[in-house]
Amino acid sequence: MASPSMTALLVPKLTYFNTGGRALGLRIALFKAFGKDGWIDHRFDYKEWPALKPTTPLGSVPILTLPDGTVHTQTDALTRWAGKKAGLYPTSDDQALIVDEVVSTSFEALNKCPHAKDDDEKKKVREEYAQGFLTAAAKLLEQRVGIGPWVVDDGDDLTIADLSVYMLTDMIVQGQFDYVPASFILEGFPGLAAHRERVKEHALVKDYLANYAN
Amino acid sequence: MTAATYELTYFDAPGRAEHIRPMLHAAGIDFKDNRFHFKDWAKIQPGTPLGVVPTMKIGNTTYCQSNALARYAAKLAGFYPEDPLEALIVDEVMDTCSEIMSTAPQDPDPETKKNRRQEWQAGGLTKFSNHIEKRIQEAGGKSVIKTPSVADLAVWAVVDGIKRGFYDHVDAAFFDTNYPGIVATCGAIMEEPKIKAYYDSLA
Repeated sequence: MASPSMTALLVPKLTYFNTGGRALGLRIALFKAFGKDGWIDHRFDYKEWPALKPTTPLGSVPILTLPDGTVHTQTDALTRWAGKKAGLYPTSDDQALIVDEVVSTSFEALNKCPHAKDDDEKKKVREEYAQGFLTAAAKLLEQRVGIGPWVVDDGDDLTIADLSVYMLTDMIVQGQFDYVPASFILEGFPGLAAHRERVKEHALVKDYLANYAN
Repeated sequence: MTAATYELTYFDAPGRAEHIRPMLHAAGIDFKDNRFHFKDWAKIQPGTPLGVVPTMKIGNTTYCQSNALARYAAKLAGFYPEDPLEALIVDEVMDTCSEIMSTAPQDPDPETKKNRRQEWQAGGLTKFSNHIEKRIQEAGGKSVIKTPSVADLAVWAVVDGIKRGFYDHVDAAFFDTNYPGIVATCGAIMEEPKIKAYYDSLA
């Protein structure tokens, strides 16, 4: 008898922690592309990670398993694939360059966020990071958002660029970056603060959050 | 974007710009290849948006993110696939190559750096290289996808960095024995006529 793991997938399956984090834009794009029943949102609790980790190609998540059996990695790459499937990625090369730059910068801001075991050390390195790379990234992102509403000028709708910026700004405003206060965005970057509100109010994002925890 | 000018800024080295330069050339773009010496980095860094290079100025706007720039140039040059799944594999390998460059450990203490680099060679570098090799073998053994792409250049740049000894304490011959696909891909992309034409133009 075939075990469940040997059953062929009929739809794409995303595997990630049971939290929003770096997968938010990717999940929203998958939801738009495939609908609630057209993909599997496989979420796991942190305690399952040690057992799951060695089964992943690079010891990291998210990973995307396709019906053809292949397993794909790299959040930035997955987000672009899902964005194309969802109509959230521009066909113009010039616009795509800006979207790619913004998506990659948002993820780089997450990746460069320093960690430390000691709270005092963590506070110190986080504050350095906030004044350093995070400020540079936020300035660039705010410039790319411009007067808006979305990153892509003359675009009718948001793209994965807006979802990626929102991923970052919302995490900061929700207090998920220890020692980086919400005011970093709300007071420091009013353009990004306004953009965050617009993304939050977008029908797609509201629909997604009505169907998924985060 | 009818930009008259393209200016790429990076160190005078392959590194994170070598998958961009040949693509611009192959796209027929007459770009200014603004290469600087490492000793000038402290002067140049404050002028960059994110404190890193490469950057590319197109017209009046300066863009960042090496893989975004490479993808853009590759599309214009015909080295980036239309098919979303092939594009996913190209993107995944480019990001993995970037991750190799980003995760090479640094340390001010020479002994610690040596130990960390050797651990990394057996750990992260091996893990990432195994994954790239797997993708190449799935595509037939001499390119990341079935046709030549910008991902092959990204792989070449990583291999070049290690071979030329840019990463202290990492074996320059790391790829020679266990990664036939990676080795074949590096050879094949340099023989690709439009890529070869770029390097011939430099001579």
